[in-house]
Parts: sequence; structure tokens; C-alpha cells
Amino acid sequence: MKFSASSSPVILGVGHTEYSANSGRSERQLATEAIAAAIADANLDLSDIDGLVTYDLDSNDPLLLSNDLALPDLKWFSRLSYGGGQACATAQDACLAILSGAARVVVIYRAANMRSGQRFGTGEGTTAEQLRYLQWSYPVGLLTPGHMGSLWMHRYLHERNLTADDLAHVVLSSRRYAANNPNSRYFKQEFSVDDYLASPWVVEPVLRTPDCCMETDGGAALVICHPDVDPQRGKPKALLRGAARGMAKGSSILQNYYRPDICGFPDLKVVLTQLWEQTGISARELSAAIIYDAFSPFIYVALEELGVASPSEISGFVASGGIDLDGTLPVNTNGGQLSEAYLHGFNGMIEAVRQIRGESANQLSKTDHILVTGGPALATSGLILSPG
Amino acid sequence: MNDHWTSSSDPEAVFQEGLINGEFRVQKCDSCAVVRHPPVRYCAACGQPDWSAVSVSPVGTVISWVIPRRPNLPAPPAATNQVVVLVELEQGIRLLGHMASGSSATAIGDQVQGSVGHHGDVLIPVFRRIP
Repeated sequence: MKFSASSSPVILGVGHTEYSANSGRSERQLATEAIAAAIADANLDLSDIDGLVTYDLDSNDPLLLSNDLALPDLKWFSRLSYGGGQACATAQDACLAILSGAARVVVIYRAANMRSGQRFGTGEGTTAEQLRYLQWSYPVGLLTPGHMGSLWMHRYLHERNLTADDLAHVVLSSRRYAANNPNSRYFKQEFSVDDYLASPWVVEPVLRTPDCCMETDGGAALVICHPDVDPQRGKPKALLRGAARGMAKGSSILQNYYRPDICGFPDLKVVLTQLWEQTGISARELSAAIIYDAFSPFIYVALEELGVASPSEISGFVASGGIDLDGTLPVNTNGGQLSEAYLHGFNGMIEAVRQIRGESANQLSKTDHILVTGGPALATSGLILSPG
Repeated sequence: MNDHWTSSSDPEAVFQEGLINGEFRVQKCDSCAVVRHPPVRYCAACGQPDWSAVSVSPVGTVISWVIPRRPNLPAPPAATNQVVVLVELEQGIRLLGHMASGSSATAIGDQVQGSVGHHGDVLIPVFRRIP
């Protein structure tokens, strides 16, 4: 079983709640709203669903939701580990279930109150399982993803001679996209380099507040189907040309301190190699990339792994507008997780579908191949969409 | 504190046992002699399982440093406003630790000397610049 232009699974529906700092309702409610919206968008019925996939860190497991939504018999359900790293692996899981014949209509979802509830940015509620991965960073007081990641991000910025201005360019690009996006709290807002430089430190000398993804309340879901599923009057299909996951040798959770070369995303390399093989396309043929931007420096490392600019050109590539809408490789056209919402990659996958459909707030003129990546610097994932 | 770490046959226990004894103790592969940290059961360099615990020189170079400014919570103990360093020791392994309080501004490339100190009530590596 393989991905191919004729047999690739298709994304027929996307849905999400509002993205906010305080949803005022339960994560369970957010999940059901998002799934119902995605199914309605697909012009299907809840009773068509036969598979559910989410994260193990989502509080809404498939059993809970199958009852909440009065779903029929489910034939595929799974929960994936390693947080947002596996964003696109939830889609891959759906594809594998569909390509194997196990299921036909699989909904992937993520719903959480990540701002009004338990916040990743405070280090509260770290679990015993996480502690096994954090055994060497936790004792010295590195509690949050920003803490843990900053040590290698600082080293990366140092080796590439990247400065606060370079990070500001990434943030400003994402805020410009968000200024056109009504789903973002930064809709119609301006943001300057001075605003950036005046923002408080989260981790000195790397991350200011706008370098860190927004902590968001919300729910999001996508409906992935067998290509034979034919909803009458459906919207344009987004074809899943490829989807892959990867855990590189010596992988970690945001702590690649111990690899000889601190400055890459080896897990992403494992994923990209598979995607190029599955799709037969190269990075230069991408129309856009939705890169998992938990922190602004990730964009530079990911662009290097994509090979769109060499390490010495990377600063100029971004500074000259390379990731803007009219640039060589538009990146995170929804504003990304820095400026639209942080829903562990799900809002990024939805943006890729909107681009394919011609529904984006920052519509690309060309949408032949759109790459989406999961959280890097840990076991990660990716997918490529094309118009159906 | 950490009294479940009692046996040096457990790779995860070795480092803590070293800290209790005032030194940095890690695994060394019996087959290829590569020194490694964090602990794992098979050598990433040669794939062999046998190892011994060795004490390593606490002298090294600052690979990176950061100062967490947020969050500012009472517990669990974040390293807020503390200089956290990633140090590559002479024998090649890298350790996380703190710069000792009162140390002057830290820079990548600084030569440092480590010893055993505390973060809260936990033993951790603490480094001082070598002038």
C-alpha cells in the first residue's frame, strides 16, 4: 500500500472553534464542536465516522467522544505520543488505516484549554512519564519547552551569527499574515521591530514573549477519507500526497544537547526524506510550507533542513521576504502558532487545506504542493497536500 | 532524597551516585572506551552493552547558556533568573548545570570548572569560570 495520485486519501472537511485565551467551556465540549464542524464542512454525517485519532495528551480519548457524538462502530482509533511532534502523524495514522482498508472516514482532532487551563509555559503539571525524558534537565530547573529548547537555540543562533533582528523578521512575517486573518487575535494589528525588542524576556538571550507560540484554548478537527467517499456538493478535495513520521537516532524531547551537532533537526530530515520519496517532488517545488513554529528560531533550522537556503544565506533569505506571501517559500500563511493559534499543529494543517481550496485569508496564487510539519526537535512528522 | 538510586548496575543511578560523592561519574563503554552521558544501556558508538562507571574531569567549555525569566512560580523549582549552562567537559560529554552565584557574565566558549552544588534540595553540577 502506497500513497499515489490515484489512491491517496483525501481531506474532505476541516473545522475548529474560535481560538481564544479563555474558551469558557470544557475541553470535551471544544472537541465535539470541532468534530461536528469538520463533519458539516465535509458535507458528511457524524454517523459516517469509523475512525478517530488524536494525541495521548488530549483529554478527550476516542471512547469518550464516540459516546459523546453517538458515533457508530469504530474500526480505527489511536492516540499518538510526543505532543505536537506527531501532528501530521495523526493524519498519517488516518491514511494508513484508510489505505489498509481498516476505515473509510477518520477524524483527527485536538482540543484543549492550553491558556485558561494547564499551561505548557509554566511547567506546571509535568507528568512522571515526561520526567523520564526530562531526567537531566528538570533537576537544574529547566521546566518548560522554552527553557529546555533555549540552550540549543542559543547555540544555533551563535553558530549562525543570527541576532534579535533575525528573530524579529520571523515574528513580523507571522504578524503580517495574522493581520489579515480574522481567526487571529492579532487581526488588523500592526507590530514593529521596536514592539518586538520592547517585549519581555521568557528566556534570555533567546526568547522574548513574541518568539513563543500563543497559548490557546480551542478545538480543531480534520476529516480524512478514502478517495471513494463522495459527499454530494462537497468542497474541493485536498489530496494527501504523502505523510510520514520519524524518530532519528539519538532523538530527544527538545534537548538535542548531546548530539555532536546541536544545530539541526535530524528527526525532520527522516520525515522529509520519506516525503520526497512518497511524492516524487523536491523542496524547490513546494508552493508553501506550514512549519511548526513553537518558537521563532525553529523556522531558521527547518528552512535549513529544507535546503531552501544555506546556513550562510538563511538570514538574508528571511530578511528579504523569502517566507512572505510573494517570497520564494511562503511560510505559515495563517500567522502560524506564533500569531494565529497554538493547537499542536492542527490549525496549521487546516490552513494548508484552506490554501488548497482557495479559502485562505492570505491566498497563494499557486498551491501545487503544500508541506506541513509537526513539532521539530523531537520525534516529528510531516505531510504534503495537493489539490484533488 | 533520591534514595532509590542505590545500585551502580543501574545506568541512571551512576550520575547521582557521583554527585553524592562530590564528582561527575558517567558510563564508559568497555568495548570502545567512549565515555557517554546521559546514560543508556547500549553504546551509541559501537552498539555494545558492557560498561563501567568512571569519574570524569570537571573542567570544560560553555557550549551554551540561558537565563530563564519566566515562569516565576513557587513550585516546582524553576531556574528563574539563574544562569543555566550546557558545558562540554574535556572528555567530550556534555552536562547541564548552573553557574555559581556571583559568577561574572557568562559567554559561550568560557572555560569553566565544575563541582557539586544544589538547586533547591537537588544535587546538580555547578560551574565557575576559570580566570
